[in-house]
Amino acid sequence: MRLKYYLFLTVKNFLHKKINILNVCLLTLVITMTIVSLSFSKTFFRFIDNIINGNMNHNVIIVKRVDSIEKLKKSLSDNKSVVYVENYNSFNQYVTANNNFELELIGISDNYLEILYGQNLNNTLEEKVLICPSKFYLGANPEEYDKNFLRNLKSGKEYLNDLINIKSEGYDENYKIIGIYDVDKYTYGEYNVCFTKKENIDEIYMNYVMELKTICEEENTICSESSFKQAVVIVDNIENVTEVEEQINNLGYITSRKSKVNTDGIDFLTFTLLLISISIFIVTFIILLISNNKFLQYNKKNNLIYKTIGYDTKILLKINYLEAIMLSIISFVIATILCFIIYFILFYNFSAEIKLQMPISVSILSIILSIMLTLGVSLLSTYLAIKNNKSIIGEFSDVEI
Amino acid sequence: MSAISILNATKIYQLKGTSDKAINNLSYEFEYNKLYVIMGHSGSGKSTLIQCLGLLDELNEGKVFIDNNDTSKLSEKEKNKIRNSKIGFIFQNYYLNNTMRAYENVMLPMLINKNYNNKDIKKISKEMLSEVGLSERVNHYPKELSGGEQQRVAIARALANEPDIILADEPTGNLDEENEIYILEKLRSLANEGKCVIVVSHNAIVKKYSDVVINMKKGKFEDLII
Repeated sequence: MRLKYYLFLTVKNFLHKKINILNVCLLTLVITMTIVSLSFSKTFFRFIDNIINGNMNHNVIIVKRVDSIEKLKKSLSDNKSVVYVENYNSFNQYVTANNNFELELIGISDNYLEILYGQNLNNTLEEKVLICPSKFYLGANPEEYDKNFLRNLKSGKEYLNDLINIKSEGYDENYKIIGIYDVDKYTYGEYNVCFTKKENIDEIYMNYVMELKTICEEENTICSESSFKQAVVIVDNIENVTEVEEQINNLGYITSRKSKVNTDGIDFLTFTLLLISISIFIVTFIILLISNNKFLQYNKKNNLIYKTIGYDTKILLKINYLEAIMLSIISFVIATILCFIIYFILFYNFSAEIKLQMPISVSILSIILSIMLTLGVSLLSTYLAIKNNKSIIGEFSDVEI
Repeated sequence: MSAISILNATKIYQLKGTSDKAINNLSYEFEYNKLYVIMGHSGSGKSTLIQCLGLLDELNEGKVFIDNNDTSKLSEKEKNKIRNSKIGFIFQNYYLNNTMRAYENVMLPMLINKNYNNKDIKKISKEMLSEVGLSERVNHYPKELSGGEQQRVAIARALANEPDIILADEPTGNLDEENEIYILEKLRSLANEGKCVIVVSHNAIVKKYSDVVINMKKGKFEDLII
């Protein structure tokens, strides 16, 4: 039979069957559910992944009462997971930038920055250089997400190659921003973290200490030097942090984490999400079978008519396949439009905090999977239904006239 | 030459452990140029017989011959070809495709017949409908037609490929008297044109138009009136 006749029969059958409206609705629901649930899972897992692996603070161990940093460095030199050991004060300092916003400066001049962020401070001979995030928060406190949050968020690219004024106690210098890293990818939710050479941090710290000593002497008070005795150890991967921490504890040091991941909470959320996804998948599959059964029941009469007038199984399969494909494609297009509407509704109604912390990721895999599932089930059940119906006349009694 | 014949035909239906012989060791030859009426009570096996004659169902034992050719050895594809070009079916419930217009229903058998091109198919199907008095209703959907009109569409579809054998299972079962007479006269004229027409019915009026009346009981021919 010619292709145009197949198309003629398919389009005719498709357009004039009211049941197809129901089938399109059911399949649209199935595809939408699959795309939404898998996209939500992807968004969540990306969020979790960024929280765990993207935030350097999870890889940082603070070691207390360190008399000799060299001794600690030597003790950890055999452990390949340890990428950075330094005095805590050489690690980070909080400063004021351009007189209007807070910055955390982290002083790392070795290969850690390159490993983690693909940036290198040593590419330039200049000393006062920074690698800064792709977004700056210019508000008073980056921890507070208020309604002005988005307005206060500025692109880091606007500052690239600009000079930025850094002020701390007894310290006032201009720094050039020579590189940008993706804040969403690396320091999730921590917008104002810049990296500079270790020597700069030491300099800022020494000025701070001198200023502190002056204040102490003037006020005749005792200033604690405990902070001198702290060290910071950075581990290459979050999975190795516990092992490194145990090694440091075995050396007799007391440790704490700069930031600890709530693994139990994440495990619970992951399990819940998995359960929801499986439930949605089962519901989806059941709806798909119901829809397909209705489709085949309705086609049964026409298939029998075709068989009676001499159409063979091959032709019947093609006619039914084409109709199933048409049904799936139309449902898929509607579902995709629906998903985009849902996406934009969510996008405009989510708070700035959620939008920035958990940007919705539409899963391409879910789109491919949903169309494959819909098509696969309908084509397979069509095949089985037509192939298994050997007797023509026995089925006439079953069909609706 | 017989148009269609059966030899030692037996058809058994298995129902909940019991077996029922719908056709019981039957042999008969149906000839061209004749209208046969098979009569009998419900369950006598007349519909089963017509379905086996039309290769819609298979016998458990025995053979069906069409133009003296044994059909038991034919492949499914060859049987489909015979159903398409050699046999025309008419059913009590018309079995029209409700998603298609009257002329499109008539086109259906021609779509898989390589002897027709696209323009011919449309033209012939409309002509066929004119022949059964539906020239004004060619573009109507089955649901817009009366029972009699639907049956005429079904007849036009059955005749689309100019088959030599017409098998009609209770063709007037759902029709009023006027349409009943029209359909029976049409079937009579087909027999007069040289076709072999076999009608299954329990309506006595059909006898008037027939050449041979066969009474069937418990899967066997009880008597023949010629």
